[in-house]
Amino acid sequence: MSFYFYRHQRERLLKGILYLSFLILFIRFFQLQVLSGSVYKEWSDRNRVRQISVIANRGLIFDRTNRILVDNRPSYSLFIIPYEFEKNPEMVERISSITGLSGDEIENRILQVENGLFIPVRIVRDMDFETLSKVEEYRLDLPGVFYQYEPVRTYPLDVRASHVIGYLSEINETELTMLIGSGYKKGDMIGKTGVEKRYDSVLRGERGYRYIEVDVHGREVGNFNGKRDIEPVSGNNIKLSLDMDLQKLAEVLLDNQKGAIVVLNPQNGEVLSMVSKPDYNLEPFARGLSIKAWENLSGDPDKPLLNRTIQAQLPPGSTYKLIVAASALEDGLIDTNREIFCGGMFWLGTRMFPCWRSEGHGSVDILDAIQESCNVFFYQLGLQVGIDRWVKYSRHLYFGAMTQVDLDGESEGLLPDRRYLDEKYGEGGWSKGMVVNLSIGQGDLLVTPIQMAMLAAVIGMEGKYPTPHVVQAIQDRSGDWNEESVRIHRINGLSIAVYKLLKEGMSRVVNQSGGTGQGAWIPDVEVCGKTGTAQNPHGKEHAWFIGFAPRNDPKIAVALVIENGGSGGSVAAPIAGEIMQLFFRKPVIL
Amino acid sequence: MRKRFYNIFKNLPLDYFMLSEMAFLIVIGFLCLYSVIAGREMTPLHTNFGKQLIWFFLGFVIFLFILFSPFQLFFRSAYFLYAVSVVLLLIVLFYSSGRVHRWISLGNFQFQPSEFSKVATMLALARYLSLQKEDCLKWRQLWIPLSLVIIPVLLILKQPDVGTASVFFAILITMVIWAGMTLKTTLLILIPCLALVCGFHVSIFIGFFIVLFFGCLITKISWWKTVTICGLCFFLGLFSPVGWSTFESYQQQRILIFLGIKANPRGAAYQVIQSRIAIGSGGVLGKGFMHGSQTQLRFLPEQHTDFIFSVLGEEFGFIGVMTVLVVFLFLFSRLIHTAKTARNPFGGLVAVGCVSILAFQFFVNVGMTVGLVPVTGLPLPFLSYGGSSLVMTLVLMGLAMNVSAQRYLY
Repeated sequence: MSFYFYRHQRERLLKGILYLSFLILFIRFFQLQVLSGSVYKEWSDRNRVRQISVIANRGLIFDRTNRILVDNRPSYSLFIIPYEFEKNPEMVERISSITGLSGDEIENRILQVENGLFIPVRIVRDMDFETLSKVEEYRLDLPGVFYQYEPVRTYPLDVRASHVIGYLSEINETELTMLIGSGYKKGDMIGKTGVEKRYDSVLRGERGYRYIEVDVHGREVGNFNGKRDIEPVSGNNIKLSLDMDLQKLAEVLLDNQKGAIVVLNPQNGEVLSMVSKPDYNLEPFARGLSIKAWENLSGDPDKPLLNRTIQAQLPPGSTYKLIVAASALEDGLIDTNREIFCGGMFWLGTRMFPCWRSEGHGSVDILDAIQESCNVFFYQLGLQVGIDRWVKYSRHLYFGAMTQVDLDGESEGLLPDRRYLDEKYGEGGWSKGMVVNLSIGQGDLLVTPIQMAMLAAVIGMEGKYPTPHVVQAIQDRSGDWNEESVRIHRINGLSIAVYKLLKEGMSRVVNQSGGTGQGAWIPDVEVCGKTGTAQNPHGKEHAWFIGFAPRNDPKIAVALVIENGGSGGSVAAPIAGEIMQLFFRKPVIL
Repeated sequence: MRKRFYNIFKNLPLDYFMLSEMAFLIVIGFLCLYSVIAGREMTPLHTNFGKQLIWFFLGFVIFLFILFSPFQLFFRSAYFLYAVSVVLLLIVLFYSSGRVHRWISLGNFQFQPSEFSKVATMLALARYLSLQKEDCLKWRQLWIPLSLVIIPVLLILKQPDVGTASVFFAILITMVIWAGMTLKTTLLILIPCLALVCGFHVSIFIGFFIVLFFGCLITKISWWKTVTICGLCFFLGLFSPVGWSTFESYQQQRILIFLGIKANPRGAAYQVIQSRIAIGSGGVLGKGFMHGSQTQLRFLPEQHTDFIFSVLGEEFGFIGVMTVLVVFLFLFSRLIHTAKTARNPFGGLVAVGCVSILAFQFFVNVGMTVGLVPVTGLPLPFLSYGGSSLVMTLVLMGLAMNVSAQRYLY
């Protein structure tokens, strides 16, 4: 009795099974959604879980003596669930009366959301106690509104260091798209400048998640199955190479001035102090800067947001004579016996170039010329050196290039070479007068203060170039400090003998009578330095001083500039002296 | 060259009806996926959604390739593909870390060889069965199809993935019936399976034996056949409780909860309950796109993969569900119709194989979201998140539409 299905029977069999199964599904869905839909609706309203992200504690920032520079303090932020808000539009008024925000502002905040309607939106960051207690008081009338603990930055020391530390602010669209996949979310705080920016991935930690159960009105009932919660992981701590005492002193010395100070350890490139004035208070950024305050800051003509130490591009003035001297000495164009007569001015064809001392320096050799900063000597030397040699040695010393300090936004300065000048003035459109100007650090040449600090360090170290850095160590999860690696390399093309001569000249600047930088003299330590007084089209001269100490095996290198401050010798050198004095008086841990 | 291309379209009567159904389901799938992912703060929206889009484009290219390939290609390469799939399954078993061996990683993307194995096994079965004398498949001709299926099934059970393994039996049974298996043989296969289930309860097992014995007497089969069948069933019945203990405990739990023997509101049943609440609370009209509070609030780990249908149910309601069900129904009956009209027996078997895989997964998955079927982890064709599943679905559709386009060819 063996029988089989014919083809059309098989088709019918399969289709039969198909239709039967669909009938079953139809009945089931009808029963669930149509017959008992309202029951399930009630159930789903009654019984909800909300996912809340928990912000991790940001890593702390210490100075080199382990003082806490940047800390976290608790704060409370107010959140709203857009879904509940959609259901109860009258809530805007209630929230607006509690928080003092206008209705439009609240609605804008909510409209910004592009994710689900159920993801909480932050309305107020860092609520004050009054608002907090009001929210608590009106809790029953505020479905879907809740507050949550969030750590916020605080700066316990009486030091600003605002440009080194940097401020935090809410992440913007560009950053979100650039950092896609690294876990940043809308509304997150992110470092915008300084160490906070460069080391954001180290400092920020990992967000956690909490699941809470809420009732029909969106009010928290309790924790939901704690097993699914994910604890946030705190960010890693960072130790800066900055010394807060030096930083404090430098900030005081530059008070009410426009300028920059960079102090570093020439042995390993650790930045001991980095001040840019005017600066700004970081504290208001922590609680979310108001638009007006931000406009005041960013619109200020003195540019407090600019980190002058690495971003200001200024003419170096006489400090740059050291490069001309080095070029000439290295290429054997001059030796210490050669003397040039300075009569107070220098004639190039029909053009007159003055010395800063109108009565002239008389006959000077190269060491005298450095000591007394004789312009006439360097005009002539510069002509002898020529632009190409000058550019070559400037490049060897990394002018016109970033120092690679671990901060964002560094400027390169401007090193005008033949091609640049040809482009700017046309081929043959620039004369020897241009070279004469460049040889005393004027003209198109622009440098940053940190480049000048590195010049002082390199001369002090006789050709060793340590890459500057502000972060000394990063603490890992197990609590061990991992030192940042120190990168030191030799400068090409300049021999030790040249450095030794430069040092001799720089020592005379500070320590011998007639030296322009005697203001930087301190007892017991042989300070070497060079002053600069850079003319500029924006008013008074910029006062420069660069230097290092002690002469042999230096422990400290300084570069400072005071914009429109006046002469380098009388304004800048004494400030450097005070910084060095503090450095050598107090045992700074190196 | 252009002329040849033109000819391809002219000579291939594409089933545009099927094509548009496919497109509709894929769009619905992406809508549901978007709703789920956008509601979760934790999953990176761009990466997951983008990944699925990339998989879709990859699958679509493969789909076009299959659609425009000569049909003989699949017939010839069927056994080769089968061998490749078995090798891949072995690789994934031995060379992947962790307790669950399911995926082969290709950079950022993961690929499940078991999905590929379904298609390859189906093709191998179709080739073998199409070469048999049609319409009277005998008992002894079943050994080879059975072993073709058993090898990947054992490898997949070892992964362990019971859900996927069960698909293979759906393929086998549908295809051998289509190839012309007799009713007697069908029963001979079904009876041992029944014995496996009845083995759990002594009195049911005894009752089963009495029915079996009298059945054998009535059909007057020879005494030694009766003894063989009864003996086999006896051993299977004894084996089943032992076999049960080899299941992973989460699988045991899922089955027990499904059968109502065990209740655990926060455990495996939790997903089923939440899914049922989501679907039920959708009501007739649904809560609206991205407004499903269950979808958006409940933390269902597998909502975008296995429980995607609950999103549809909640946000688009009974009307949405019925629309999608009807589209699926049309698609499946169209595929069966394709199988019937194909003059080439291999083509017909491939079409039937495709519909068996798609329809089985469809019913198990949708049934699971409403608590009709135990939670097995089978993805819903077209809708579920997951690259391998989407690509496999497109491959099956490519094969079926190729059969439909070339149905008048021998």
